[in-house]
Amino acid sequence: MKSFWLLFIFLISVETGFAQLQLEKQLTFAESLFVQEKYFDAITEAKRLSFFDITSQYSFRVNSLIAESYRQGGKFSEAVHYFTKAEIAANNVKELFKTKIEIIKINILRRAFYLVDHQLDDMGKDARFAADSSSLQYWRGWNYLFHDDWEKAVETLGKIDSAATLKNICEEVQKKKYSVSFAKGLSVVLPGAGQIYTGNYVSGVLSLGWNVLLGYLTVQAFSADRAFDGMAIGTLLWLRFYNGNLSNAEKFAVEKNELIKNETLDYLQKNYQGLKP
Amino acid sequence: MKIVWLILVFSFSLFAQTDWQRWQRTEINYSETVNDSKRSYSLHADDPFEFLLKTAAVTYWFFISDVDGDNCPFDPSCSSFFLESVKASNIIEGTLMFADRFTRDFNVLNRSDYRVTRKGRLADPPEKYLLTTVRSKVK
Amino acid sequence: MQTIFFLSLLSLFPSFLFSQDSALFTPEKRKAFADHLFCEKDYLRASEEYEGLQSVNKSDSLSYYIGLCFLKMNDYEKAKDYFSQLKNSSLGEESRLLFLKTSFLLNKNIEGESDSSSNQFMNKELKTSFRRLELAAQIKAGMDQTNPLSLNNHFEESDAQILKSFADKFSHPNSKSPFAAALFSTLLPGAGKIYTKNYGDGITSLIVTGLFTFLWYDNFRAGHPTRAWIFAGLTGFFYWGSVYGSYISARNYNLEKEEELNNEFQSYLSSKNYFIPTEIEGSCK
Repeated sequence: MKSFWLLFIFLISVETGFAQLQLEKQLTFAESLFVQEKYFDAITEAKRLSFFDITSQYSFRVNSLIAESYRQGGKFSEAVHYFTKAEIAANNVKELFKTKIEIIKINILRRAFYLVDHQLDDMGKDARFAADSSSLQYWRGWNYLFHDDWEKAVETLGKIDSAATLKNICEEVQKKKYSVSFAKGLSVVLPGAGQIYTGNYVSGVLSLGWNVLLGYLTVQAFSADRAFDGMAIGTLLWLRFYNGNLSNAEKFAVEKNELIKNETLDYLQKNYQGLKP
Repeated sequence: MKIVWLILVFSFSLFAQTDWQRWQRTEINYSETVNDSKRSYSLHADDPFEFLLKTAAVTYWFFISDVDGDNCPFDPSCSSFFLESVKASNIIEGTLMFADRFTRDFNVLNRSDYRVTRKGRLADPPEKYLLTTVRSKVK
Repeated sequence: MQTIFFLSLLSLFPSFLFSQDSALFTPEKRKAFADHLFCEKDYLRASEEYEGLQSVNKSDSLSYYIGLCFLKMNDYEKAKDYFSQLKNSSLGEESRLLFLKTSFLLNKNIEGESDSSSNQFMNKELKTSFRRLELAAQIKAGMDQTNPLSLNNHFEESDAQILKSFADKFSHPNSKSPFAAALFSTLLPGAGKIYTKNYGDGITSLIVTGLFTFLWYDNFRAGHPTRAWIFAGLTGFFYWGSVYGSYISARNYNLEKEEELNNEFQSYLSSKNYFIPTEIEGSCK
């Protein structure tokens, strides 16, 4: 009778082994679809695995795979949703840290600046991640960078030796950027000067021309005692072009800065070799 | 932890719609682009009349409109609206639509009837005012 | 006794082993997974699983669930096709009711869509649902023959009241005449816009046209013919713009009101699940 029971236990083990094997095979299948960039199908198969994985032993890997697939499809909300599930299923601190950073990377990409700031603060206070402070600092730098705060990005990245290249790029941007208030200030003093400062020469010269002409006509009208004409030209035309000159100086500086920011982000996305969101 | 689970469970159905259509890999861009309608300075035209109209509009934009600041709250601006209206209908209807738009431009108190675009302008496409309008364009 | 118990346990193993060997893709497991996806509102994946099963073993129940998936994904054309094929099947009554719903949601003429067998039901609850949805469709079509009595017979009193009010609005819409609006503005610039409740634009139109008319007259009187002609042109420009704008304003007013009413009716019906018992649209725990 004893041998019967031994056989029974053996069969139970075989049974469990088979089940394990099937789930493992399913995970490999889902991962192979991911590698082939068939993200939608990869999610289907990962969900199938999750459904039959009664003990949730694959929960972390499955949810991470689903989240990564959604990220590749640009579906950030869903990706964060599944990374959060993976975070809950994390088996150790290393997995937990990795998942939290993935969530932060997605939030940086979708420009949720304050949320990332808050999440990094929370991680900084967590004793389990005490050894990873430079990594947190690094992602904080990226967060500032996406938030268009290059000064803070330089300051933050400057604290990490390994981020010297990224810091230098941010410093370059800081130097290249135009001062919006300076551009506007120039145009207050000399119409068109702010536009010329931002490289919009034609617009600057045209603006100067209109302001000189209309200013002349206004002064001439007043000096010829044609006060009504002077008022009309001064308020309806000269003031309009003078205000246009100020708003253009500001608009051009903002647009140029936007261009510099986008060019840098584009460069970082395509050429930067280090870790990135 | 329980709260996190509850949020996860309740938020699940919100995401379900994402997968109601098959999707592919998407190129993620770090840079930001705002897709607002921009003026076309091209003089390309299908007939001489359109060419004349475009030349007049481009001249106006270059020498006056681009230099005198942001005075039109609408998208498209009044001059672009005129061009688009004439193109979508004919010179008479387009001119009448333009006259109506000009009057609405004077009414600084009524800005709530328009949808606001990402750049903060009031969406007012010509299609809404054509005699043969498409129903969906009205709102 | 112990041996019998052991042998009976042992006898279960071949089936266990067999099922695991054929992985997670046995029809039973696929069906269970598809039902799970359906309940998770992951309808496209669910429909793909049901379709996969359908290719192995065709069944009315699977077709019905595929139809439901498309219905839930608001793909009414596809849903309608599935329910249409099932009209005379074992799920015929449910399918006919959901076919009616998809036709309604597609804004199709329900009269033309139904045939003689459409309204034959054994299940009393489904028959009531069918009749209610038919009446709702008649209300939306603005049919004057929607009998208040039949509303009272088929609906609860509170619903009947609401539906009567909708029936009234659909059959007698509160619209504005574009021609009247244009005529009003011909007589007094901007009056047509005021008629369409576009008060601000109407008054602006009156002021602008009035101002240019005054400048035209004033310059003409003061002996400045060139300026007078320029202002005359501008007056005409704004005057005819106002006439045209008033016509369009009335037309747009009507379209907006119509859309508002449709949305209101749709959201009321949606809150009532189109009078369809929720159980027939797939039950999930």
